Amino acid sequence: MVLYVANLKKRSPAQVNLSKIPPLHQQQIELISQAIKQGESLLIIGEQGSGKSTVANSVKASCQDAFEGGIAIVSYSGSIKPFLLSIGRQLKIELTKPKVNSKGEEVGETPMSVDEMKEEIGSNLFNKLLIIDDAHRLPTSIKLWIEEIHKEGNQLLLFSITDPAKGIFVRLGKMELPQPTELQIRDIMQREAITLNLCLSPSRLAALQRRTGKNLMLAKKVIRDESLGISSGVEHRDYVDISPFIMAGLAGLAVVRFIGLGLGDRTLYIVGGVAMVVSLMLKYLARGLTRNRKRLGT
Amino acid sequence: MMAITHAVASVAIGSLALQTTDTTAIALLIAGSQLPDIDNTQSTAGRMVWPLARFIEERWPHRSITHSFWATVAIAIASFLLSEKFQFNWLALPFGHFVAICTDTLTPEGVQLFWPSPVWAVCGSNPNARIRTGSKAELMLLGFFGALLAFSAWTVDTGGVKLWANQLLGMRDGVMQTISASGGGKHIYVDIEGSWISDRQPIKQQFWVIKQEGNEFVIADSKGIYKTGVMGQIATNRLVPKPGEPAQYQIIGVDFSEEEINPKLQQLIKANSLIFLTGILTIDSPEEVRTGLNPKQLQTLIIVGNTVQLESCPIQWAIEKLNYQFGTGSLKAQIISPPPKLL
Repeated sequence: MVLYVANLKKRSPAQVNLSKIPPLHQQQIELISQAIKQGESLLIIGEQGSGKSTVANSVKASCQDAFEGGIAIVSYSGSIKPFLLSIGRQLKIELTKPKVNSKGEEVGETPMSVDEMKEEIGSNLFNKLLIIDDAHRLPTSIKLWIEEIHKEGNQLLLFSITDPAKGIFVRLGKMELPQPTELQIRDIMQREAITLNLCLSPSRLAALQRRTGKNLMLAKKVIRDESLGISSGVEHRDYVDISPFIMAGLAGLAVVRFIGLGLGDRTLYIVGGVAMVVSLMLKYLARGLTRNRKRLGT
Repeated sequence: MMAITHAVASVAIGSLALQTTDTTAIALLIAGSQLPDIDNTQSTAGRMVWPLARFIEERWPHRSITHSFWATVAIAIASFLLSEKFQFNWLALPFGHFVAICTDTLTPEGVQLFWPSPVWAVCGSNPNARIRTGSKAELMLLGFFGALLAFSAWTVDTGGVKLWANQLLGMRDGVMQTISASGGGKHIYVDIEGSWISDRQPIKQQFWVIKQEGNEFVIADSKGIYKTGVMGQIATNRLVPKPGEPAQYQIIGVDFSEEEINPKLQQLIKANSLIFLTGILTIDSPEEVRTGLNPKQLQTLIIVGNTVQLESCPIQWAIEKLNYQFGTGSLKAQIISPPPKLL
């Protein structure tokens, strides 16, 4: 028997053509950049792991030309001084003052106090853009300060997980980052798997994707967990509990009881009554059984 | 959920809801219950349609697009169109699918019932209280659906859930419903628990229902004819209806005007049928009729003045008692064929 090698086709595991998938948040980045260039200040809302920081960096890159004074991306990580210093460094604002000795002579420089830094940055923001990531973490003093500098006509771009709907957050135009599509999530998962040198079948990816919901961060995390052999269970919060619908449906069987009553059909009346009581019993049972188990120490 | 759990759950709930044990409908329920899992190349259904399963798997997570209500709607439409051409119960296929996706909400991961909405539908908010695929809890669930399947097959085969409820409750209304549901096409038997009105002796026996009269029944066994209720012979506590073999019920009227009764009655008699007469006749010589009295039986033929009153009287009995009598009036003849097995 002759086997023609030319007729054989090696089937590689089918992969969706990655180049067809639109880049994440492309449209939003363009919209935000346009608004920023027109002098607007914005608040962008997106859940943890929805790609806020990526959007911030892209906006910075595309708005670079419009702000001669520069663009700063900062996030608050526990203390105010480094936060302000980081703004100063990125926007090239000097946050030191001359050091004066006892004779009144200048000897070198000394860092400003926090209030002086706020004052200095606030008066030097002309033609500059301040992007604050994770704005929901900001302490009240900083929130009040940025509210002041916004009132003075300076531009801000805030990214936050939640919208506290007060103070500075109410003053800004609001925009929510949309959820990525299933294909974009799959794309992120495949890329992460390639980075980790992990070979996953589409079947395994489809199974893992159930745990990610529509969250980019979880998409990567699930793949990392898979490479480590950790099964972390379901993580996203996009749930809807349908048990109330079932209970309502069962309680709806009480209708049968009244139909029986109306038609003078005693069998229907009794069966409907029994169904109603059973649905009530199930309701109490379900309430008791679905309570979360407490772990020791919680 | 395992394929078998889906199949058993769909058939159990489906046959109960659609009230059918038809083979095609059962096959369609099973097929419908496997349809959601064509999004997984590891599943039995997915392996059967591998290219399609792979296509879906590359684009969507498991338990998303094929496990949605939209998929149920699509299947329902396809099933309806196909049923126009090949006669079958179009509800079976989408119903199987519907039950399968709903039972999947009992698993920790949940199902995207409302796809393309990103939410995952679960039943019970605590994931630890839900049922892991292949776990012991799932076997218990399988056992429950197996029992439900047995119950639904039994009730559907023996006349439906309504009859089952009627038999369980043993009420007079249930017997009436069973009589009207049979549409005069079946013998109706009734298991009676109660007592004789004459001597208060308990009674627990099966009777054959001749007819319903108001809220009571005229019934018979191999020994005689009885009537239920305080005006009759048997006080009933519990009546369990039992539909029996097919039968034909017919009522015709017979008129007499100063003529001999028996020849006309003789003409009615047919082979393989029972005839019961009801009505009042004025007769010439009532004193010649001997009726006799059995307190435990219905007086089917009584003399009042110069009339004879018949109530579900067997035709042979009437012929014997009214021999050579001339009469005027009309009778209703209830003709039942074939006779019930009891007599």
